[in-house]
Amino acid sequence: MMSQEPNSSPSRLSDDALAKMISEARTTVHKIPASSAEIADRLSRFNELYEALPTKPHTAALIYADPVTGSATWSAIGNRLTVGRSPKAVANTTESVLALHDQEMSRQHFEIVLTSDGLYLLSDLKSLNGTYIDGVREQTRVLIGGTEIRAGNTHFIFTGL
Amino acid sequence: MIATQHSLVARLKEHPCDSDWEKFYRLYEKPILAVAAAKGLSEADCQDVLQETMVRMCRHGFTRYDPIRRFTPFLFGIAKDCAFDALRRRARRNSHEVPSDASETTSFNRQKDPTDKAMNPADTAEMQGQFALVGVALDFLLEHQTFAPKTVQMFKALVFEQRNPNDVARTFATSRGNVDQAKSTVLRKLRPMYDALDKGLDLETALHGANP
Repeated sequence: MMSQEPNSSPSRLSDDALAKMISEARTTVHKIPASSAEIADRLSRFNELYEALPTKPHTAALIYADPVTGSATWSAIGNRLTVGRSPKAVANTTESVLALHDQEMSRQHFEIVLTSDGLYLLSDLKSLNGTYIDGVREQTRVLIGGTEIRAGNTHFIFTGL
Repeated sequence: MIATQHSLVARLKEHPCDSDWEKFYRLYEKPILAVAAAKGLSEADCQDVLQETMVRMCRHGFTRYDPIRRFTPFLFGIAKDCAFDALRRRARRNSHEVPSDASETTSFNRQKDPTDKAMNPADTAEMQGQFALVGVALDFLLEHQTFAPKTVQMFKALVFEQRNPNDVARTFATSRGNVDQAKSTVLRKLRPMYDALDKGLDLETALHGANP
């Protein structure tokens, strides 16, 4: 039966099964959404920064080039991460702050929160210069792996899980 | 054992470089998008799935992949996970839910709900991905392999247009045997291309192997 054949190793497929798959492929192609050059560019930047990390994060994190040293580094997000020039530290140990020497950043610029449904939600904290997500100034956005964030002069990339 | 230099996936695991990444992206973007589309996602959500799948492959996909197994079911498994996440994001957008802290969570569970009918049948997305993969293999073959023009025309009439072989033979003023031979010739060259994609190997190497 046709429905089982694509799960087989290609070398085991009969000529007729392979020909049927080609026919199906031509139908499938019309249903496939277009990719975009933006995604390829974004992935290229992600790869470059990720490969430059001396150690790799094992959980969801923001990766970025440190505004002072220029070296690639990362900060784990945990349940909540607040980013800014001098973000307020909180007593709850599950929440983190990331303070950066970037004069274009507000004291508390943005935060990323792990929501109850397991998504990472970025919110701008009424920053003066705004938070840009994939090049667009936004107040809030659910992040996916590879999302680019700019706050002040610092560029971050969200790693996803 | 797969020789490392012939395995695109193995090279990306051990010594990732831009050119191999570009190659990987170009070969597998359509199949990943096909997997996402099979889940009923919008174009924008499918693109998110593509991006997130690629990022996960970079972060830990190549390391976790066991090279003695087929590569594409592994890749499509990650794409399906990302599609599941996209469905959850869509549900969130539709529900206008007020964001809540993880600290308020008592029973958060990252595991998939096995009764979630939106994710069934699981094989549909896998099949769509495989169909797209065959399409990529065939495009590569027709672009790089020099067949006689008549062979390609007869192959397309038989396989693309699903025409009767005797009818094709009449159209091309040739024998039924020649029509069958044209189909067989292309499929014989296609099989190693598809096989290479399925195993994460280099298509160029597979093409040279098919032309001893």
